[in-house]
Amino acid sequence: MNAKNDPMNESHPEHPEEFYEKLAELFGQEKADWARLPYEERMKELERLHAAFNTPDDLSYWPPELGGDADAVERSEPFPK
Amino acid sequence: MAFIPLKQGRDAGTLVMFVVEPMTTPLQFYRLFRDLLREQGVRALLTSGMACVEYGIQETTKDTDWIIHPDDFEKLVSLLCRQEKGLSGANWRISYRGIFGAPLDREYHLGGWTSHLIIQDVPSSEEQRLDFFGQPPRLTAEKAFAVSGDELADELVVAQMKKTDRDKDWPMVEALCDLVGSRKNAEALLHARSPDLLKALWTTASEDQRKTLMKRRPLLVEMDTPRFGLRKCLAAERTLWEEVNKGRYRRFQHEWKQFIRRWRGQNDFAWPVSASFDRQHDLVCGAVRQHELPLEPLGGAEGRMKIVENAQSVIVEIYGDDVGLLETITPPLEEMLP
Repeated sequence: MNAKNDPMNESHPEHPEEFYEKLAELFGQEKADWARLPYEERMKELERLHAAFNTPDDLSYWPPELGGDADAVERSEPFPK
Repeated sequence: MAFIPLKQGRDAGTLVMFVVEPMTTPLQFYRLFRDLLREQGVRALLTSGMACVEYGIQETTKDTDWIIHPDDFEKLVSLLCRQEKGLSGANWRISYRGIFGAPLDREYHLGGWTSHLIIQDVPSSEEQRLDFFGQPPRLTAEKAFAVSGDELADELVVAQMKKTDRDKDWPMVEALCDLVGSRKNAEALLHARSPDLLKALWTTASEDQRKTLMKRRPLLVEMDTPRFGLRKCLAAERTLWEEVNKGRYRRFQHEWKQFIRRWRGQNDFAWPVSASFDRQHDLVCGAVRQHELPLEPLGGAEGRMKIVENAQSVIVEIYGDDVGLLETITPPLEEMLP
């Protein structure tokens, strides 16, 4: 991590307003508002979200050889990274 | 550390007793793990969803994805074995996941395989899922480490990794490019997804930058000399990336399934196993070599080209065989499958 990409660096400049507008356009106003929060508050809010919701695991399907759903691997959509 | 109540009294009149145990949240765990990697000298970059979070783009994934320098896998395995030691150690529980992937082994990671672990650092915490890349998809580790800071993958490294066939990843690519573009970095032109952002970035790029970037992303030719239309080219280009990702993934999946079938044919086959991590690691490292999991399923330049050609055939099926469209939207092989 360096000064350029360290989000915790307090000297890190605020993003331009257009960036938050872009986030609102792409992901909705709630996530844009989250991005505007100071770093520590953003992370606290994310902890709250993590505690409240169980996020899907896109690598969780098991292949038939290991007792999983035989078709799941073949039709798995979407594929992992 | 957060604390949770394990037991409490039922009657209002009785003293309520709490037994508390520490638990680690996914964010706390990622920082803990990052610090361990740093302390042990394992060169690693946080990438994917958790990196987006660090950049202010919210993803609610709890997994952490790490690009590990290919020369540091042994150090990583040592670190994990040490963390698992009880009494004098941290007493973590660590397992390879029962999904497809290779061991934390330099040779396999150089061939593009990934490794997937579950770690429980304290009994009351949820299991932490970690994915490791020695050669991140669509990039090389060398490039990723060269352009990134010490611990966080550069925005455009994350953007390149996000060119998957999952719908949720593409808005991330655009947001990351917008962020990079706001610093007047013309390289965002390599990944930006909307005509508006592309046009804004194009105006800030010098003539030399435009020429250089056009070689890496031929679609940029549409900025000055539109022929097929930017929207059509962007849609076709995304489909191409998606199909290339599917083709790449299928190769790994196919080889892994063949390997598992060979391994399973053995009388004493057992996987995953509840053994210490060093034994799991030895077992899977032995198995991949004994049952010949190929090191490099993509098969060199020829195999990679075949994946791109298959993806191009999907483009022709969808968009027709307009002369020049494929050339306009297809990045060089070293950009798609280095």
